[in-house]
Amino acid sequence: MRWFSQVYYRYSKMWKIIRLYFLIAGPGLVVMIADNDAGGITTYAATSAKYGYGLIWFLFILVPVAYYVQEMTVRLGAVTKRGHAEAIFDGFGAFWGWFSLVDLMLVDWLTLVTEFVGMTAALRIFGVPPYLTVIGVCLLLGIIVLNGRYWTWEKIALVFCAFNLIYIPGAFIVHPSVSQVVRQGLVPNFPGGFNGELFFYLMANIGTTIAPWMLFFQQSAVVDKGMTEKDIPWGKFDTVLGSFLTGIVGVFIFIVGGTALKGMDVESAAQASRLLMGVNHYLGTFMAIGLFDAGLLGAICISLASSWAFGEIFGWAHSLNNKIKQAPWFYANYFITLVTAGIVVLIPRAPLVLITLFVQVVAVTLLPAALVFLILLLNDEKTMGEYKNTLTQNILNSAIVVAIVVLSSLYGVSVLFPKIFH
Amino acid sequence: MRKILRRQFGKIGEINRKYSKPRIEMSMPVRLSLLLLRGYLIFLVGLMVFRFITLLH
Repeated sequence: MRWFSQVYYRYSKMWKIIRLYFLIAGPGLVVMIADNDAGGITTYAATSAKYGYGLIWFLFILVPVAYYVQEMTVRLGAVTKRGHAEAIFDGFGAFWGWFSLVDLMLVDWLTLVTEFVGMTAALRIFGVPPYLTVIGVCLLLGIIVLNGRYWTWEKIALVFCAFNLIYIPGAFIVHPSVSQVVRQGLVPNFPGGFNGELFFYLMANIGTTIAPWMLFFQQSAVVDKGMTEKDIPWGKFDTVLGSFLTGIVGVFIFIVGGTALKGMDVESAAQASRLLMGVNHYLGTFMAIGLFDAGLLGAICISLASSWAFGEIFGWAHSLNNKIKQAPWFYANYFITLVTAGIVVLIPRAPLVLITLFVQVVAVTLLPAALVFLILLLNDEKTMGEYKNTLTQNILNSAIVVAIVVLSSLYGVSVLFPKIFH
Repeated sequence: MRKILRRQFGKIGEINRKYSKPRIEMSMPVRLSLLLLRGYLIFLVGLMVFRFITLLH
């Protein structure tokens, strides 16, 4: 009887913790899984087609990198109750504030265009015309945000996050050799030797792991959710879990690509899906659904990141808990960003490849600034109090930030001058 | 509509005044970080302009 009551006690305690987590869960999971957006899927597919399983180990390095950067936004948001844009304005003045806000608007809009490119390309495989995809996505996202509750929006976003796991069963369809995955993928190595081309792929993978919109999105989401200092441990756990899941999804895409696409020249995830259709119909379908979902998740988060930022600065009501009448400018900003990005994809002969390349270059101008501001704000004892960065966190985070700044800058330069690393 | 838009643009001046002074203490490391950031951004913009000009030619 005593044994039974102990088991019951432990079970009910565990269940209570899980239920509490589901109340707090959200921003970290959503932002991390949305990190595997259409551009991310393309990068993973292209890298795995080129190097097989050879760079899987690199994804495992990127998991803690993403966590340490995003974790800072949880603390900053929970303590200051301010989004990243407002924190920059307040901390560093109007010049740096406007620079970040305008740059964020531009990067977000361009990234949103690339998400629409991914979504329309994915559904075109199933015969859905692009205009129908754009209309459908805008309507769907409109319905999601207009329900007037942050909680509902977040839980719907989490459902779409679950679809991102579709690559896991996909990997089982291709029957990879586990011993080869372990031998080639988990032992750090540079397939074919360290050369300019490999360096380019490594930089591209870093570029997809840490994007500027992620910092702004998670901090604003933490604020909109109403998280406080006592929720920080849960917020951190949420971010750990999210970064782990995003890494796992990346690994499974590498396994699919490394098994079924090795040696092929893959330029986009949609092309990878079509190629995989030839290998196995279900596999290609999974890949295409995953690409659409990735684009949709990216669109859900990115469109909100700039609307939240503008709302914070212009003093508009800017919560998903507000109805459209209460926050007209916030929703107007949201829909203008979304609809115009969708329209660009429908323009015949629109320079979509140029836009995709331009995103990477513009992101390089915003990312270092946003990261440097993040570190400096986390060291402001007056605001952060006991939640300011410790010496260890400063050393670790500064090293990560310097590495990201250098590598993402080199990536931006390589996009501007494509022959530089080849 | 024009009135509403004018009010929103008027807010820009208001925002500039509100955030005219940085709240963070401008210690040496902060100053140095911001200086490096400015230099980095000027370099990057210069590179983009250079690329644009070479593309045009």
